[in-house]
Amino acid sequence: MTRLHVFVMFAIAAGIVSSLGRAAETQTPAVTALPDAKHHPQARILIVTGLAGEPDYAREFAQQGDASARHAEATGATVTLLTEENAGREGIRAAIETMARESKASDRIVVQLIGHGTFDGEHYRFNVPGPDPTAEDLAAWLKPATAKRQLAVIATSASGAAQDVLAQAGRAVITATRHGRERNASLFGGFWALALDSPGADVDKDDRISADEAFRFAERALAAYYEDHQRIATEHPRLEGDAGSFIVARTRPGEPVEPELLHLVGRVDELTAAIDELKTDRRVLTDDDYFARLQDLLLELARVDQELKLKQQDSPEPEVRVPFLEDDSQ
Amino acid sequence: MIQGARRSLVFANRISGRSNGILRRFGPPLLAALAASVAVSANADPLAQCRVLEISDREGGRDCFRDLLANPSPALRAEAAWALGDIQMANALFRSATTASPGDDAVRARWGELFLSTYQVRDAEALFAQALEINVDNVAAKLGLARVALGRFEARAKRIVDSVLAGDPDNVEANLLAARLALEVGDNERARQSLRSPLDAEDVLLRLEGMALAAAIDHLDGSAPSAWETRALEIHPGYGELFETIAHFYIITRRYTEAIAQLERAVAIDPELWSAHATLGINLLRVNRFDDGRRTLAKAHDGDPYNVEVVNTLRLLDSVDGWEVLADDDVIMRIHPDESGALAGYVKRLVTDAVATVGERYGFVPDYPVVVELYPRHQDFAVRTSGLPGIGVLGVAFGDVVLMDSPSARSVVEGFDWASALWHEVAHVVTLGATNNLVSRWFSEGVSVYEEWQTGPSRFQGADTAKGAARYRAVPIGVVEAHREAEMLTVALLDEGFIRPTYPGQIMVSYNQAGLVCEFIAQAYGQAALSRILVAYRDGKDTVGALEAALDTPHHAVDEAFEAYLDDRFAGVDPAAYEVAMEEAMAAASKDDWVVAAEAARGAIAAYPNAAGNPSPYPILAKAEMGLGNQAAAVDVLIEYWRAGGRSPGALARLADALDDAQRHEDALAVRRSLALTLPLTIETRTRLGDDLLDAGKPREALQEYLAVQSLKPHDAADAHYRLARAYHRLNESEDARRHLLFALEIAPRFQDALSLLLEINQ
Repeated sequence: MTRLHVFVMFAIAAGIVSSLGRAAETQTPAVTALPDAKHHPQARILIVTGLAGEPDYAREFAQQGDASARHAEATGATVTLLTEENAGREGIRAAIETMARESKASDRIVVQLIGHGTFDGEHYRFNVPGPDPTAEDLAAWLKPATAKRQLAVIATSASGAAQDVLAQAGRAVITATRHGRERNASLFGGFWALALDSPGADVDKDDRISADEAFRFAERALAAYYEDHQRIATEHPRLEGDAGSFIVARTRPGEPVEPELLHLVGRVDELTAAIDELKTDRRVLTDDDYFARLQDLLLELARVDQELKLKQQDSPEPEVRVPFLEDDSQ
Repeated sequence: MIQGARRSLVFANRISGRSNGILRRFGPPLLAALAASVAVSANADPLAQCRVLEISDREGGRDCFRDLLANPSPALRAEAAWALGDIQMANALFRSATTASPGDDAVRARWGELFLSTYQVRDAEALFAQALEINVDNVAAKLGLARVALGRFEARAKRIVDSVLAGDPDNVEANLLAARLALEVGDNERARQSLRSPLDAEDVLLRLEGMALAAAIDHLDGSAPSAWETRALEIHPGYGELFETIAHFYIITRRYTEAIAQLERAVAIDPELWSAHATLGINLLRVNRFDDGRRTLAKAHDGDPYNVEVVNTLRLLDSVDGWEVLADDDVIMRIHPDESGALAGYVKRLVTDAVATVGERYGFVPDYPVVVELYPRHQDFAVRTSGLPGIGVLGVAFGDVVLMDSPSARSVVEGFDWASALWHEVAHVVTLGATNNLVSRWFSEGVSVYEEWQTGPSRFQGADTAKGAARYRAVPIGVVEAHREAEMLTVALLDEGFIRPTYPGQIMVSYNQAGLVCEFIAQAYGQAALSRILVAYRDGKDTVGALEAALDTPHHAVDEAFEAYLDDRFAGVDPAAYEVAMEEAMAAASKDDWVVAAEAARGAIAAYPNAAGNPSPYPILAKAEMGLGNQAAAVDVLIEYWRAGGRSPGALARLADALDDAQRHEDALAVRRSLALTLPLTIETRTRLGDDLLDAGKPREALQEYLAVQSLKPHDAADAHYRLARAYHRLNESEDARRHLLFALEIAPRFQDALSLLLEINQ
């Protein structure tokens, strides 16, 4: 089988979250007049679309790359999108090394590869013009990165073979397949892109879709696709590590907040944290007690939220804006 | 490779070579006479000598067979090993025999019988074919192939048997097979004629088989108990195969209770007749006696661990243990727990509606609950139905027990309309119940198909004939072609089209023909005529008698009038033009060439009006109209498609959205009901229907949709809880509303709509 017969969509999506992210060359900033961004954590994403082989795949990969880049930009991430001849082995190496060099420990970095992949029993390879980079290459190029939170999304056939190679502390790895022997054309990337466009993927309704939420959505939609079409599932997506802190899309633009309302935003955060704490205590509480306390917290949260909305409606356009609920402190 | 011996078809016992098992149970007073009769040929046949000896001295007979294992002839040793039950050895020895004598067609035919007796049919078929290559006149091989075909319900079984009888009209084994074939299509008289030579056969085993079949004819004629039972038991008091044979014909005529009674008699006189235990167990399950069925199958498995049907069914029963059983006075449902929450409401409504609607139309409303089992895996449904995977039907009705593929077992894309299929099966419950299961296969299918068309959930809802629309529901185009090519059977023979089809697609044609016959009768003689036919069946009439009694018309005249009806019904349908136009429409649509696509799709509709199957020209035409900017025309086309019974989910979703855009919310709601029924396990369709119902002021119905969504464990669980809370809130059930809001907000504390509703509830 030639590599062009193998549908591989290779996407490494490393850390996208950056509510206070600085505008990149391809980025439309979510906010204006930000506080000094130099000391704030950044989210950087490299998206690569590899060789398609056939026009249908080329169109599909381009759409997936564009969708991923557009949604990443909307989160405030710095986005680099490599396509066609720029997406060769050296181009990828250079882009990753740049990202590794420029990122700081508090940053999040994401590498997302879209295209075809192969596994020869020993090495996973991402199909690009010219020599194909292996999973070992990617791991080596990412090694200098000091960012403590990294994410790789490899949505290609055979991509499961890259799991172990890329695994390291602080790096979540998403692959379209469970292992390297799932070699058929992968549809996972399409469902990943669909997740980014789907408000329903935002399970916790915080207006942001995390990589974990996108993965769960795509995994489910993919399984439903194979079932609905009465086809044997030839790919089983896999997520290793914590992808919940990587935001890959927003369901609504971040809204600016008047400085005098920041205390309400802070209260929302406090109440949310209190709810999280209550949930961790659930096992030691009776159901009645737990839900009574939960309701008290939620009612207060509802009132604060309502007050915030009312005051925002009444407010003139703020001179200084900060994004609402864009928390990258995790 | 031969894997082990097992028996399930009665006639296989005789050919298996294990006649010793039958002979040893002969009654003592008749042993001498029987021994004498067998001994006629025993002088020259060492195997027969052993069998004769075994009649009076079982162990002696077995010693005799053991002695034959030292015979220099591998073929004889193979027969001895087979008689002793050592199938593996018999197989190896037959192989040696054919190696030693590659041109011996008789040995190959016997080896084939060995395979057939262990139900390794393909190997058996290959050996029979090899025997015939060596000797084209080998009757044993021909009849072996006929048995293979018989087991597969292939029409060639009859052709082979007829060809043997043409050369040897008194061939006993061929006549036995001919009798079985005739009985399967309800031609009792022909079966009786075929039994003349078997009932006089010198070979007592063949004679007994003839008696069993003669007894079965009496039972099917309503003359039970049969005198043949007494005569057979006088020869052989432990002849359980007698009752097993009778049961077989009760089973294929869907009289499971009667079959069970016969099988219980079979195992009572022959407790080691494991095939009867197996069939009994499977049929106990068919009448919803799960515990008895499981116990009986376990016993069958203990006796014959190689019976694949038993093993499959026991495994299935283990997996069904965790299923939900939801029961009330009307319906008992067994549904997989992952699907019960989403399906139970729809199943309950469909079954009660079908029982009421169809029951009223045919004057028989069952006063017992209908049992419905839905299988998410088609192969499980197949095993539950027949013990084996690989059946080609979507559902079956065993009296009041309906088994079906669940909506998840098959794709809508391949045309699986599960709700219509359930309606169809419930119609069987009515026709079977109304006739004490005496209705013919074709008429029961005909009523079910006709009721799908007339009253089912995807029924033809009429067309605007003022606009020139055809007034009939379309049938598959192959049915039109079958009519024009004179491939349809007469009504008297229509059962054969279901049981032993003679050309590809004949079963599909037969289903539709049966439905069309019922449609014709309803139009020509009135709906009540169909009920009169049921009454005639209940009174024991066969098809010809039932038709003539109910319609007061000779059956040949019914056939002629039906032909004329179809000529009229299919007038103007042009299959060739339809296919050309569809190809053109699809090709143009794939290139977004909407002008050409629209014209071609219109041409397809003109050639074949109301064609709502998949693919259909209507959705193509609608897309083309949309592409050309004719939104209103697209809506009209899709409404026509929907009313013709079209259920493509994509087309219905587009139609509902377009109707909403046109502020036709009531129509949109009706379409979304169809869509949700078509895709009941799809979260989006159920959610959207719930929203529409809530908007339409139907919170109770909306609640059911949202509960279904929640049972499907949606990715967006918070949203599902929130929608439930909204419905409960609209129903003024505040505590449930609050509970679901807390569940929603526990998952998603910043869910603003839920927070707002929480405030509203607490104000």
